[in-house]
Amino acid sequence: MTALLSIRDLTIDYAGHVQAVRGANLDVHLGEAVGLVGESGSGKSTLASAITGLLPIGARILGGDIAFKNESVTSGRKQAQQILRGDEIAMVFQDPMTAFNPVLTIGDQLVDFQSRMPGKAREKYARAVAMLARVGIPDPALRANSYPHEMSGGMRQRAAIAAALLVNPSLLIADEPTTALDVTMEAQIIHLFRELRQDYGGGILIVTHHLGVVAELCDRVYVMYRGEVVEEGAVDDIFHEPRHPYTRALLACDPARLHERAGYLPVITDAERATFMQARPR
Amino acid sequence: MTPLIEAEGLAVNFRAPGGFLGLGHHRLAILEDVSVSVRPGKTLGLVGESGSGKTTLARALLGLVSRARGEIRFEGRPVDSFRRLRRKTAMMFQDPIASLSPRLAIGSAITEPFLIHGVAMTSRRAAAEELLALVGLPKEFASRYPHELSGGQARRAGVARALALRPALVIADEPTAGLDVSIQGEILNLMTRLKAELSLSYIIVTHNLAMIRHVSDRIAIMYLGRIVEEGPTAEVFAGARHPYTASLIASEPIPDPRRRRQSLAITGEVPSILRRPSGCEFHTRCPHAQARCRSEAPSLTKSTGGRSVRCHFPLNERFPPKLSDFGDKETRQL
Ligand SMILES: Nc1ncnc2c1ncn2[C@@H]1O[C@H](COP(=O)(O)OP(=O)(O)OP(=O)(O)O)[C@@H](O)[C@H]1O
Ligand SMILES: Nc1ncnc2c1ncn2[C@@H]1O[C@H](COP(=O)(O)OP(=O)(O)O)[C@@H](O)[C@H]1O
Ligand code: SF4
Ligand SMILES: [Mg+2]
Ligand SMILES: [Mg+2]
Repeated sequence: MTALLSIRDLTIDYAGHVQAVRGANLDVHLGEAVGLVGESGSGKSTLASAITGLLPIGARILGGDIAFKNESVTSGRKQAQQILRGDEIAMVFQDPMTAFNPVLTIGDQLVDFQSRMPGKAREKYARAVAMLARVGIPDPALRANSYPHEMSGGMRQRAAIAAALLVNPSLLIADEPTTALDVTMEAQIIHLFRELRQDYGGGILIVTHHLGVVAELCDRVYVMYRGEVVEEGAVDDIFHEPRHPYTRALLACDPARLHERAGYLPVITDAERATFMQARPR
Repeated sequence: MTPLIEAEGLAVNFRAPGGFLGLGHHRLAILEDVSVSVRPGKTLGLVGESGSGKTTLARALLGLVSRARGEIRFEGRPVDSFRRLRRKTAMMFQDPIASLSPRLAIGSAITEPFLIHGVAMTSRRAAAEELLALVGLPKEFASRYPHELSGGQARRAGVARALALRPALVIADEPTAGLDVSIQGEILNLMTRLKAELSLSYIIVTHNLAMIRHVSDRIAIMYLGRIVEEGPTAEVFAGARHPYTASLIASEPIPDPRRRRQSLAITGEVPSILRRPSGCEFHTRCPHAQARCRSEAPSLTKSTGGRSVRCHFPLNERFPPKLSDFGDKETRQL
C-alpha cells in the first residue's frame, strides 16, 4: 500500500541551532491514526509544521523529502503551503484560541474556512452548524453565534476540530490537541477522535508527549528523541515490547504506569541519556 | 497532632459581572463551606477541574482574597492578621516563568522574599547561591533571566524562591503543569527530598491525578467551589465514594493500548458558576443521580476510615466494593 504521507530522511535546522529534525522517516496511510511522541524539544512540532509548510522563519529543510499522495512537496511545483490551502491537509493546535479570530463568531469563521468549497453562504453556514453538532457541541445553532472567548477550552478545541474537518482533508494533523485541557475534556476529545474515525477515512497524525493519548488513539507510533525517530512500531509493540532504551525509559517514568505508590518517581538520568543516541533498536 | 493549617467553613465571594441576565446576584459564591487541614510533614493534594476554585482556595488560605465566612487556624491559633502565617507559608504560582519578573535576574528573584519580609541576610549573593544549591541549580544561574531557563529550571527557581525564608508550609499551584514526565519526576523528587530535609508540609494544587496519587498523603476533590470528597489518597484511589471522584479517576487515559476505554466516564462540562445547578451541583453530570439529588443539596458527611463525602448515595461504602462502583461500563481492570 502506498502511503498518503511519506517522509524520507528529513533534516531540518534552525539557523545557528542544532538540527531540530535529523534523518526522520515517517509514513501515514489512509484510515490510519499515527502517534508521534517524544519529550519537549525533541522536534515533533518542527516535523509536523514541515508537513504543512508552516515552518517558522529561520527553519530550513536541509535534506530529505516529504511526499503527499506520491508527490513531493519539498521540491517541485506543488508547494506544501498550497496543499494545505488546497484543503488536503488540516491542522489542529494545542491552543485552540490561535485557530480563531477573536472578533468574529465561530459560525462566520467556519464559513470562511470553506472559501474554496462549492456552495452558497447559507449552505456553508448550515454545514458549519452540522459539523459543530458532529463534534459534540451542544446547541450548535446557538453556539455558532458565539465568539471564541465565550467558549470553554474544551469547546474551543471541538470547534477547532470542526474547522479542520469541514474542508474534508485527507490528512488531519493534531499537535498536542489535549495538552491544554482538563482530564475530563481530554477524555472527551480522545473519544471524539475515536468516533470520528468511524466515518472519516483520511489519515490522522497525533503529536503529543502524553503516552496515554497515544495508547488510547493510535494504530502506529513513532518515538522521537533529540531530533531523531528512534523507534517506530505498532502501538501494542511500542507499549509492550519497546526496543529502544529511550522508549523504555519514557514508558518507565510515566506515573500513570506505576501501580504502587512511589515515594520517589522514576526519572531519566543523564547516564541513561548518554546511551540513547548510540543505541539502535535491533 | 495539631494541624499546621486548618480552615473551617470557608466561603469566598466575588462580585458578579454587572447585572448578568437580570439574575440580580451581586455576589458570586466561588468557595462555599470549604474545610481543609494539613498536618505537619504531610502533603494535601487539592484536585479539581479548571475553575473549580483550587487557586482561589490557596489564595484564601494566605489571606490574599478576603473570605466571607469561615475560620483559618495556623499552628492551632486562629488567624486574624496574616503576617505570621505568610511569613511561614510560601506560594509557588501556577506559571513559574510568568510569576518571575522578566527583568529580575534569578539570583535577585529568589532572594526577593527576604526584602519583602524585611529579613536580614549575610549577603544577597551568598543567600542566592545557597538557595540555588538547595534546588540543584549551578550558582551561575544567579545572573540568568527567566526567559533563559527551561520549564524544569524555572520550576526549580520557583522552589528556591519558595524556600527562601524556610517556611513550614509550601502551597504549590500546578507545580508540574506542562513538564515532560521525566522533568516532572525530578521536580517532585526534589520537593519530596526537601520536605524531609526541611520538615515541610505541602498543599499541591493540580488536576493531574496520575501525579498526585504518588505525592500526597490526603486528597480533597473540588467541584464548583465545594469539597465533594476528602480522605487518605491511597484509599480514595482504591475506592472513590463520590461519583465525581470516580469519574475523574476513570477519565485518566491509561498508557496501555490493551486497556482502551469504550465509553466516557463523564460527559458534559462543568456548569457555569453563574448558573449553579439546584440540589447536588453534580447532578447534571452524575451517572447515579436520582430525584432527590435535583432538589436537596447533600452536605459533606464524615464517612468511615477518616473520609468525608458530599453525596446522598455514596459509592463503595459496602465492603467488599462492587465493580460497578468504579464508574459505569468501564472496561478497565481494577
Ligand atoms: N478575581 C476574580 N473575579 C471573579 N471571578 C473569579 C476571580 N478569580 C477567579 N474567579 C472565578 O472563580 C472560579 C475559581 O477560579 P480558580 O482560579 O480558583 O480555579 P482553579 O481551580 O484554580 O482553576 P485552574 O485549574 O484553571 O487554575 C472560576 O469560576 C473563576 O472564573
Ligand atoms: N522558532 C524556532 N527558532 C529556533 N529554534 C527552535 C524554534 N522552534 C523550535 N526550535 C528548537 O527546535 C527543537 C525542536 O523543537 P520542537 O519541534 O518545538 O519540539 P517539540 O514539538 O518536540 O517540543 C528544539 O531544540 C527547539 O528549541
Ligand atoms: S448526590 Fe446524587 S447527583 Fe450528587 S453525586 Fe451523589 S448521587 Fe450524584
Ligand atoms: Mg511541540
Ligand atoms: Mg488555578
